[in-house]
Amino acid sequence: VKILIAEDDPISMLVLRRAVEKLGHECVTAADGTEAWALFQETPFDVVVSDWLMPGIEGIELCRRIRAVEAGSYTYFVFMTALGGKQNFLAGMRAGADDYLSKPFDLDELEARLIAASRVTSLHRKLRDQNAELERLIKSSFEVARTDPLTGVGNRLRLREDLEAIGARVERYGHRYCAALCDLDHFKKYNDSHGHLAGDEALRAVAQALVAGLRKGDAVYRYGGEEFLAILAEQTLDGAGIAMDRVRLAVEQLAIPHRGKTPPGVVTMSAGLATLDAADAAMTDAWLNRADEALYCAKATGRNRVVACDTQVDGPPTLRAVPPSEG
Amino acid sequence: VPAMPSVSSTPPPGAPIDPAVLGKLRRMQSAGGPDVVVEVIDLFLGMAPGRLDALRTAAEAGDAAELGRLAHTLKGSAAQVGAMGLWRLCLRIEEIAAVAREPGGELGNPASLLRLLAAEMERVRVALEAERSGVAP
Repeated sequence: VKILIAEDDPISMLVLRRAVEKLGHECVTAADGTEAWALFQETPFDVVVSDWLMPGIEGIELCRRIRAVEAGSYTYFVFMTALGGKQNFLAGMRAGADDYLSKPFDLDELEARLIAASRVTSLHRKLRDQNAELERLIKSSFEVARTDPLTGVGNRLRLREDLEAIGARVERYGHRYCAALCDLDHFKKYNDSHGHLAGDEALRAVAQALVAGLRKGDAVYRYGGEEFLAILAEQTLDGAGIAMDRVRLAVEQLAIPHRGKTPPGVVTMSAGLATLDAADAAMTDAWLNRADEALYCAKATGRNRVVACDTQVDGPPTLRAVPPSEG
Repeated sequence: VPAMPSVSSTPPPGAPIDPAVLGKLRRMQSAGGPDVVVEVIDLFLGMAPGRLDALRTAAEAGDAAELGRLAHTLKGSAAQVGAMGLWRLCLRIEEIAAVAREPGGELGNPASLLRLLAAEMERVRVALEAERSGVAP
């Protein structure tokens, strides 16, 4: 164990140092509490053996400071009390010390303290490691529970949680979000003619294209079998339309052959867009329904296109096609 | 709580050094390391004159706080070499200094106590030097 000795009497210090060495441990020495505190802040020690009365920072204050800063690791603190000065030791224990040693101590007494110290510090170390492992596991299961295993994007659980937060942000801070509901065209036919494994690959490729084509603050979720939902932050409907049509084009340019449609071609994607305004922040369902309507319109008007649902101050929402990007 | 050793301002009877304490020191000897008893005795005797002078200076200046602190440190050293008579005299000075620091307290004249301390220190020196020549190579 690594031991720090704080002792202002050079003779007691020498005796203690020789005793610690005899027991086969390393030690660092400080001539008073102030020096000990400085050394401790540089590098933590397993054991501190400290005199009670010292110039500068006294033993009890040194103990309190060490207890206040230690995180994760534990320092076993032993007070040295003068012969006949035992009235102090309870105050020391109350300040956070683990044990005390009376001068002149003998080797067995010191060894007993060091045995207890190594037991306690290794127990603390084990506990700390287990806690870290537990924390890591909790964090990773949290992630796993909210991730679509096939594509790596968020799943419905993450979407539900994010939607609540988004509704609150729109209402409170007036942030603006666009939802883009995306659907692979003729995907059932793709699975039928290429097989489900190829279908999975196509879904993965499209998810990647979505994530790569959007901004860092945007989010992508797997919404259904061949449906993805992208939520674009701080975009106008026009801006989101341009971004989504770029992604649509990128999917087309992946050039994944699709033999199941007539005539045979490549895998494409349709998307429907809608904005969430402060007026209906609490109604994220209605928001997604508008995106769904726009998606339906994109499907009905030929697929491989993006349609936006424009909500007006008065009057019903209108659907309009987003002009295709330059290929 | 063990009984405190009785406190007396007269030189204690018997040996100035408790051989059991030196026995404890000997057990701290590492194979191949420096002789612990010789090291401790040399350090103790090397510091003794300076410490006595410092105690006298503090007493003459009427500095009760400094006198108490010096006596406390010397008391710790005395305990480590088994100089129990010296230890008792240091405790006595420490107590006088503590009383003097209380409101309305006065240090009085600790000179006689310091003379006893010097005499006891001399006995300790003789005993430790004998011990040292006995154990030195």
